[in-house]
Amino acid sequence: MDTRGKRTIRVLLAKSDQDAHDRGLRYIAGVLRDAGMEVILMRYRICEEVVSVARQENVDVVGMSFYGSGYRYDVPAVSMSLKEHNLTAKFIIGGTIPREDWPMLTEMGVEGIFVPGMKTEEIVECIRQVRA
Amino acid sequence: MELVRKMLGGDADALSQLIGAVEDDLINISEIMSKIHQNTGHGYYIGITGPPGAGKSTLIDKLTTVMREEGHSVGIVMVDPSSHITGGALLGDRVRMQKHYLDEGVFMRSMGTRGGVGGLSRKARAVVRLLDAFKKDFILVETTGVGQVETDICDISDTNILVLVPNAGDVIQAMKAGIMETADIFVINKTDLGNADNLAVDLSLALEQQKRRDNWIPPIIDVQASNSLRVQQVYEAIQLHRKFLDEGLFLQHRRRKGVEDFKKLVREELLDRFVTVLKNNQKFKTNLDRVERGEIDPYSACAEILNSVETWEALRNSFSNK
Repeated sequence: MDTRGKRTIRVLLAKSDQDAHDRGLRYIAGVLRDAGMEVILMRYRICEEVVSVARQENVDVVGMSFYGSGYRYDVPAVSMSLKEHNLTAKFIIGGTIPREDWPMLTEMGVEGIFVPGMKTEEIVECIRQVRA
Repeated sequence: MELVRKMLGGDADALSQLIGAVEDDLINISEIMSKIHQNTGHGYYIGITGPPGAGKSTLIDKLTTVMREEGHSVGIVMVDPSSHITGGALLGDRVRMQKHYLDEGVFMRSMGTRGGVGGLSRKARAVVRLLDAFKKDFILVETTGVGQVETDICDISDTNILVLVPNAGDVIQAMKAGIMETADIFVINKTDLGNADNLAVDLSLALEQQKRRDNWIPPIIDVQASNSLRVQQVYEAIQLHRKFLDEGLFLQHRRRKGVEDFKKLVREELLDRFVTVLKNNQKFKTNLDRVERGEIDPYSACAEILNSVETWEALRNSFSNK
C-alpha cells in the first residue's frame, strides 16, 4: 500500500521494565498495525524515557500499559512532562486499571482508558480521532 | 523556513517535526534539501542490513556505545516494513537500544517503508541528510534485511555492513548478487550458536570469486553483539574503511552517491507523475478494459499507450499545469 500523501498515525506503546505482563500490549500493537498505524514499542526504566522517545519519534499518541499500581506514579509524571514539552500527543492507557481510579486519571490528562473486555475498535476509533 | 532554522541551530524537537513533515509529504522536500545542502557532508553514513533476527539492532546499540565513548554523536534511522495491505507497521527496533534513550548525543528515529521498495523507505534517504545537517557524526541506517534487494541502502551509505548468523550457510548461495557485492564489512553474530567458522569459510570463498569496483577487501568479523564481544573490532573496521575511502576517492565516492540518489529520484518522480496522468487517461482506461476482457494482451496494450502521442501530450500538459 502506497501511503504517499496520506498521513499515517504514529503510536508509541510503552511498558515498564518492571512489568513482564506485555501480552495485552503486544496484542494491541498488532491491532493498531492492522488498522494502518505505525506502532513504536518501547520499555522504560524511568518515565523520562517515555517522553524522550515520544519527542524524537513525533508520535500522535502515547500509550502506556500497566499491570499493578504503577500507573499512580507514572501517569501524572508522564502527563506533566508531555505538557512541559508542549507535546500534543493523545495520552491513553490500558491494562488492569480499576474503575474507581478513572476519574482521577482523566483529571491528570489521560484521554482514554482501555481495559480487558473492551472492544479493540474502541481504541482504534479513539486514536483515529487524532487526525479528524 | 522556521523549522529548518531551528533544526540547524540544534533543536531536536524541530528535527523531529521536520522528519514528520517530510514523511507525510506536508512540505516541499526539495526546498528543504536545498536549504540544508550546505550543512551536510560532515556525517559518516553506515548502512546495516541482514536477515531478520541477525542482531542488527543489538549491534547498532553496542556500536553506538562505542562511538559515544569515543566522543561522537550518533543519528540512527531504523526502517521496518509497512504492510502492503493496511499501510501499518510494527517499529520494534528501538527496544534493543534503551540505554541511549536519554542521551542527547543520540537521535533515533523509527520509520516504516511506506511503499518504498528495496528495504529503505523513499523518505529515509532524505531523513539521513537531515540528520547529517543536524551535525550527527555517525548516521547508522538499519534496514529490513532480506538479503538480496537491499541495493537502495548502498546508494546512500559510505560503509555497508552485512550482519549474518551461523547456520545461514545456504543463504550465501542465494545471496550471490546484490548485497554480497556491496557489503564492505561482514559481521557474523551470535557465534555462541556454533558453526561460525563454517560460515566464515563459505563467505571468504564466495568473496574470492566476486569482483569489486574498488580493491577493498571486506573483513569478516565474528561477534556476540548481545555480550558486546568484539564490537570494538567492528568499529575499527569501519574506521579502516573510512581511511581507505579518504585516501582514495572519498569525495568522488560521495559525489557518486549523490549521483545515484539523483538518478533514482528522477526515475521515481517521473514514474509518479506518469501514473497520475494515466489514471485519468481515456486511452489507458479503454485498454485496461480490453485487457480485462481478454481482447488484447498486456504487452500490445502497453505498446499502444506508449506509442500514442496523446499520452505524451497529457504528460506534458501535467507539467505545465503544475
